[in-house]
Amino acid sequence: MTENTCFGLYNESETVLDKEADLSLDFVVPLELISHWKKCSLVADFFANYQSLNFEDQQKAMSVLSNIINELLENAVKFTCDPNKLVSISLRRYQDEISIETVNVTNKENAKKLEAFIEKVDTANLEELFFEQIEAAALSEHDASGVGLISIVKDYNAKLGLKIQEKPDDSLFDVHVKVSLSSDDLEAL
Amino acid sequence: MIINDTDYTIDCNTPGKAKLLGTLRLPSPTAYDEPFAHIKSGIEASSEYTIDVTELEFLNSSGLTAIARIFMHARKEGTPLTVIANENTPWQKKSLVSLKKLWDQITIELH
Repeated sequence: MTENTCFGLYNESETVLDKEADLSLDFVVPLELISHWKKCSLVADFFANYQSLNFEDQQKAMSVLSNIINELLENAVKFTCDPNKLVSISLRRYQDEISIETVNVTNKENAKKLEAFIEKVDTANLEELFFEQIEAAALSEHDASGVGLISIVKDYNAKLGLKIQEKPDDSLFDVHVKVSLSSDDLEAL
Repeated sequence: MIINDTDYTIDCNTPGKAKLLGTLRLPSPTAYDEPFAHIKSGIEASSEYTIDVTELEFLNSSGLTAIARIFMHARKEGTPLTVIANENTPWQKKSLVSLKKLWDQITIELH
């Protein structure tokens, strides 16, 4: 793995990333405290409710956005190498596009796994990959199956981006995961 | 048997049927083993089984994996499954319907 990896949306020259976030939050989820796990859902619901005000069918927008944001947050929390490190989330709306980005800190092993997985999502048939992953996860004790990310792209026609940046001091990596989807696609669901 | 959590309810009081309500976002697929235990035993004890998720607002991907495990359990037991889903809930219409391919004896009714 190179020191910096960019994939998907992070390679596009003009993206919603250029815009300042409409809403952002940094928070900590210590996984040893199981009750804190609910923070992911709480934050997802809040961000989704906030953004749903821009839609005619607010209930549908809330449902889709909360699902997507919750999956991104759960992934960010699970793959954060130090439970005391912050997980960040930001939401942007640009013309008819909504973008959600999470940032977490991880180690080299997790960063490599995520990079390999995202490359697979880019090239594979998503229906087949979804089945492969969900059957493998259902038959094993593993939970890091990527089913959530595949569903986001497959079911909501969302675009995915990944940026991994090596941090200067401690051989850790900043992982940025970004999902964007069009308001029209969301309304059409 | 009814499991009442602050976020969700799992009602297995009617033989051959389970109803899931609320938000299910547990931390891993294995975290669903306990709350879904009565569904599994219900599938073992029935000739056919129905799961109603029309009032299940949210299910995370760990939960979707746990549902896939339930479907595979029904396949192993040879108990045909009917899932009653809500056509106005996007994840049910999309992700849940995809799981039908796990076994041809799974019927998903969108209401």
